[in-house]
Amino acid sequence: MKSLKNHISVILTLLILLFSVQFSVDMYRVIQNQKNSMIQNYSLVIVSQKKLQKEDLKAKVPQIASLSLVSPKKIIQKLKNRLSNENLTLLKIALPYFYSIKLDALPKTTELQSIKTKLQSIKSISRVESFTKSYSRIYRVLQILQIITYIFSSIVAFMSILLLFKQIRIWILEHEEKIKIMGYFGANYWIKSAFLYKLVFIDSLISTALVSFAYIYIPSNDYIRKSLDSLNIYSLNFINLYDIAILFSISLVLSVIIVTTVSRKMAR
Amino acid sequence: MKYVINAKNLCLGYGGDEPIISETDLQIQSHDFVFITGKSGSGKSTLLKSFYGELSPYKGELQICGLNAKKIGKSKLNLLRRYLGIVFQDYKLINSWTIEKNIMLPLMIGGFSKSVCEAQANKLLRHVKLTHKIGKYPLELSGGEQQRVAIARALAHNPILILADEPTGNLDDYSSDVIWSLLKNAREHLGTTVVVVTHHIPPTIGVDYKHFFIDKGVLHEVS
Repeated sequence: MKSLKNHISVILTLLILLFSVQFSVDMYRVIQNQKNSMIQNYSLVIVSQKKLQKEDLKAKVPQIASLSLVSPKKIIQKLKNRLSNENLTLLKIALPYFYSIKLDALPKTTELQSIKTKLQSIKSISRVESFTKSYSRIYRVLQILQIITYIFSSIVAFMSILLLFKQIRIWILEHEEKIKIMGYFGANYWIKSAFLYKLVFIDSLISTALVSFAYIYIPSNDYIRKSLDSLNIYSLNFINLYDIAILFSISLVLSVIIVTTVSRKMAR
Repeated sequence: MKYVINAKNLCLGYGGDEPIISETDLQIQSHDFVFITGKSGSGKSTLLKSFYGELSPYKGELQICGLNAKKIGKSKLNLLRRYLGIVFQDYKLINSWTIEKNIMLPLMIGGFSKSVCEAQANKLLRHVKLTHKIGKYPLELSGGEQQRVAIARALAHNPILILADEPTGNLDDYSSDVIWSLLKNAREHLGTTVVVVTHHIPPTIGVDYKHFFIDKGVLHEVS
């Protein structure tokens, strides 16, 4: 019973640690996903007196991913009833070129300002329009959210590591007599500590399995699914085989380091 | 190797002003059966501790199985202990292990296969007359039975030297007889050197032995 209690304490600590690690990873993924969807829906609109080539613009602004001409047909269509054909032809000739620019990544506010300045410095460009206000607000919220998540996860991870140190120390103290007896018959460090490594291996395996199960189950829950859908997060994988392998490695490597450090320190 | 234990001007202590063992000379040859007696607190157990490397001499020389106890490193000490069979007054059995596994301990440390360990443990359980208790844990056994398990464990790997600290203290006659006969057999059939620390030598021991007496931290051979 006592041994089970000790196992649970280590499993629980590892569980919290792995949960916070995976939470950070998923938060990063969600934010990246949001950034990508923002970049899909977001573009700069420029007004130019001359035709523009993507390569020429890219030489000045390397962040440009695409340049597409916005057809003025719709505007002309609307004015068809109000203006004569002659005036419409004149308007068509006099109208500048409208372009929509897509960027390769979501820029920071300062970067966006610099892009705008560079574009405005091109002689033929008379106007550059972006949706800076709403865009930068969303971007800032995402950034703050990411920072808060990282801080929170780091604190949780730090606390878990401290708890693990304490728990492994308790384990060793509980098995001190056994370790000493083994020593009287010539057992070296690895023989004496083999059972400790075996225990942390099992606990790492259990905690990784539990965290993986939680991250598979939680997003499939109806309520969570609906919330994610409302945020346009449809196809995001919250955990995959690679993540599971990483979580298990983190848990195992960390607990092995802690067991080695504590037992070496206590053996001194 | 002429002497299994060779001590010259040996001084032992725990860091206090007065040494517990002082200026002691002792030579124990292979196949010897040695009794070390003395009053309580005279330093018998302290002397024995130095033989299995638990206590390092702060003065003089001590060689165990040809190794200098003063300069012995951790790995060499582990190696030395694999050739020793230690019997403690308080048995020092692992309570979370069955008595069979306890007996297997020195063999497991020596890297023997599970089948070899089990066969040897079963043989020794027969010798100590505890075959019927094979799956039991130490705390389910009486003190005498626990000490018999401890003796079986000390003999499991056919050690060169057996160091026994009060192996029959507080035991019933039957358990004491079993223990003495096992120690005698080990010496006669396996050529093991036996060093026993005790309060009194059993009158019916029936073996040639050397007797040392500790008085005020000094060892005297009793002829």
